[in-house]
Amino acid sequence: MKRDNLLVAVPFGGRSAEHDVSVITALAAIIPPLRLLGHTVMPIYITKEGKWLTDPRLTEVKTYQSGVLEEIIEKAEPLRLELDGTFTIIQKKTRWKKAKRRIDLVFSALHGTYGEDGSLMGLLRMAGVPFVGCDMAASAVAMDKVLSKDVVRAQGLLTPEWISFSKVEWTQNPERILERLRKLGMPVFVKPAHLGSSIGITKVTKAAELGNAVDVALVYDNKCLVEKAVENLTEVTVPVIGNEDLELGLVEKPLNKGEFFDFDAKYLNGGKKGEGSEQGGGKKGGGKGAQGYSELPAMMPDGSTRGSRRGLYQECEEVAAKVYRAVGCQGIARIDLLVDGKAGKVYFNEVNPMPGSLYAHNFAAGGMSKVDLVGRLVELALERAEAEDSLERAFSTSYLRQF
Amino acid sequence: MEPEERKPSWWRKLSSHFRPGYLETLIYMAQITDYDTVEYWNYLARTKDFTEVMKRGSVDWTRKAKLLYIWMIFGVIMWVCLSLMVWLVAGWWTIALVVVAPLATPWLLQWWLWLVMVAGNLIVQKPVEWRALHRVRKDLMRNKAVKIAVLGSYGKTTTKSVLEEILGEGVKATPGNINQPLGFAKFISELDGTEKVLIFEFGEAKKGDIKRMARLVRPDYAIVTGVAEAHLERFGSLKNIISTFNEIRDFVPKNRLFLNMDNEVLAKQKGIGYSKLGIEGLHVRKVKLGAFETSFEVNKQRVTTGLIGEHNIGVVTLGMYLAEQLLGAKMSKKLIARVAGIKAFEHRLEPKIVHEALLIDDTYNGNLEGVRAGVNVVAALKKRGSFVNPAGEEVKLNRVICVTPGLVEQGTKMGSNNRAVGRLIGEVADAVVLMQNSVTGNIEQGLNDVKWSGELVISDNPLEFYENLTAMLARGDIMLLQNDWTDNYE
Repeated sequence: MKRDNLLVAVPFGGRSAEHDVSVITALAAIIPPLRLLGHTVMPIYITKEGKWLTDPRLTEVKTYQSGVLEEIIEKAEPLRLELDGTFTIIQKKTRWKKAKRRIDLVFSALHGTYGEDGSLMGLLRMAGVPFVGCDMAASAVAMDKVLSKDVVRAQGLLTPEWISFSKVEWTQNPERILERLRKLGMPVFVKPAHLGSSIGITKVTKAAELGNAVDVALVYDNKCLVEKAVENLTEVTVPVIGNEDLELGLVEKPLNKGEFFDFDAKYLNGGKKGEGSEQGGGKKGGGKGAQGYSELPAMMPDGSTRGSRRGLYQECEEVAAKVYRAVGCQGIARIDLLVDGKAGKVYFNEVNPMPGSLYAHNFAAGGMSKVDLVGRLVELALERAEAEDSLERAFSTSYLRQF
Repeated sequence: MEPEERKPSWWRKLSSHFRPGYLETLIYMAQITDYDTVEYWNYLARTKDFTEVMKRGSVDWTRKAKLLYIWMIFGVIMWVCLSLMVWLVAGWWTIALVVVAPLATPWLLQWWLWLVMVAGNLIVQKPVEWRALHRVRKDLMRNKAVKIAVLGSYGKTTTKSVLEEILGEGVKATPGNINQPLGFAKFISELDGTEKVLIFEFGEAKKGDIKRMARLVRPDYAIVTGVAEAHLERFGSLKNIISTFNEIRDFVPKNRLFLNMDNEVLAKQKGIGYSKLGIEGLHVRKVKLGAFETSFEVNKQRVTTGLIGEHNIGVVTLGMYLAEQLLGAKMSKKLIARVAGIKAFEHRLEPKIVHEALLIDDTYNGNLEGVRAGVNVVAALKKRGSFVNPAGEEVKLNRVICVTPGLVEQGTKMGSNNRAVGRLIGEVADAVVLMQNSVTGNIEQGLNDVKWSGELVISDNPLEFYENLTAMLARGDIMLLQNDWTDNYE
């Protein structure tokens, strides 16, 4: 398999609440390093309406600040794919001329629905093109918070007590569900089961407020997750890369204390401020690391940190690696953990198969530059594709002749 | 990235003359060679594929450039009219002209632009110059300030700036890169006559330049900052360069001539020496080299400066010496505070923290001595295994990355000097990034000479590389950016 000077398609944007974050991930963390590595980048911008298009100007930051984007969206022809056992993009060059460009690798920068949830990976698997990051199954598990908690608990790992139910169940019999919820004990977090960001998440301290919170969550999703809050909470996150052998980033602790932050604080500030939440949900947007938004590496409540011989820091690393393997992640993922400082327990919160800006700031603080990180991810993707290719998939049968 | 042989096909060479941007390219080439009628031709002769020319920059649309552009458009129109006229008058058999005329246009336009440059030089430039120089001579005769000439193959601007900062008020120096008689005219017209010290940077482009400027300025003191093989294309040999600098001796006696003894060539010459060991009466001891500062003891007092590298110690002590001699300043707290206030100059071993890595920007340096100075700074940090960032935190060293396109204007020593660059950076680098050009092979040879084995990246798109280079950095990295490769060299 070719390894140098690849034609790499980078899809970003997308039909997701995290459209803009995805643009930042692509332009800041993926495309420049790919180019420095000598690969050719084909940006694929997916509009909020779901139209796919490409244009060289899409890799420039100023396109998104000047109104050029609107012009490109209006004028560009939608992308056409040719699926002949490869992933080939047909580009209209001029009125008469078309160019076929066979994609060697796809490096998705899509966050949230239709990108991070396994949908895109399904398409790419069908097309037979190698791609970076978690595969379809792991992505789907990670995107469903209930499912991922199930999977992780089955491995004997800790995760806060929870109850989940569908919108139908709630409308049919809210009283019975409220009854169960009250037994869980306050405070709790009420979350939509799927969305990656903090949209629709409420922290509930009084049982009387439960109904409202559930209604809010069910506006965004058909499935609702109610989770018991962890006490003496320290929230940390650990980015991990690898297929079989894992390389862990630093354990990072958001510094923003107080109520868990909402969507605005996290994203509208360019994902750089207010990095932090309280069991609130995913953290994307790539914090600024040591510049005051998060503690990197984290100093744990028991005083342990990177380089300590034994402590909560090391436990977090272990749990993160176990979760990564349990969910079946490959390439890259970020594991969010909740630490009860007094009890000395580490709970699993959620998995993020596509951390904002690849969490490059975290790896950089650990000594791995963006170029090294992206280069490693490309290698991991090619390794996986090679391993898959070596599997036997074609069987000759006589079924059809007997039919 | 594999090094790619870039040999444009004959068709590409030819067709690159017939692009819409061709006129603009010619203007750009004239501008980048400072409208020098000879350099302009040399650049044209070197250029094979005209589409490559403007890859790194674009025309600065000054009034001159705009006028030239109009002149070129006028030329095209003239040429079309002329061809048509001949055709109409002479009849149908000259139809061949209709074919030949457009084909010859690009080459005719090269001459057309040259023509106006020559004319402009003779009719406008020369008389203006002559008048300006006359004024400079007259004004300087009247001025009572102490005049110091700063000359050398490298380090002039830094020396000038350091002196300016240490000597404080009452000192004026020629601004920026102004180092020619004409540039002095504006500088002198802005003086108010109360200055105690005037510092002139003398640029040297050819033999006789120093003599010419010295005759004009009549300096009381002179400082030779270093002699190296710079501008070899114009000087031919190191001997010629040395004799050009020695022209100053006809104007300044050796007890008023300061020489940088850190430089091998100058160490053998007569004058007052200054170096990393100090200068007469100011002896340097206990040197500490940091990532953001250099500190040392002079006569039992600790002096700290924001200039990094051992090679800057000499010039700092020279500044202190001159402050004593010319302004009667004593080794006081005030003087030490002034030295401490000197920060690194832009693009001259200028340290920055990027992504918790140390980036040392030395892109203004263009000679081997400068490369050696930069490598020495990094080597000192590497030996210690860490650097201290401005927040006072000690950061453990990760990797050393050296980035350079190589040296330009090295004349016949182009190959050997760039090979020496390879040997130097090979001593400290864990990773090396080169820009694909004609000396890339020489630098690689140099790396092989010292049996260097690290990660080698060769970029064929320098602009993109420099825009994105911070993506290569991680905590604890040191990246040394050296030498700028201007557009008129391939």
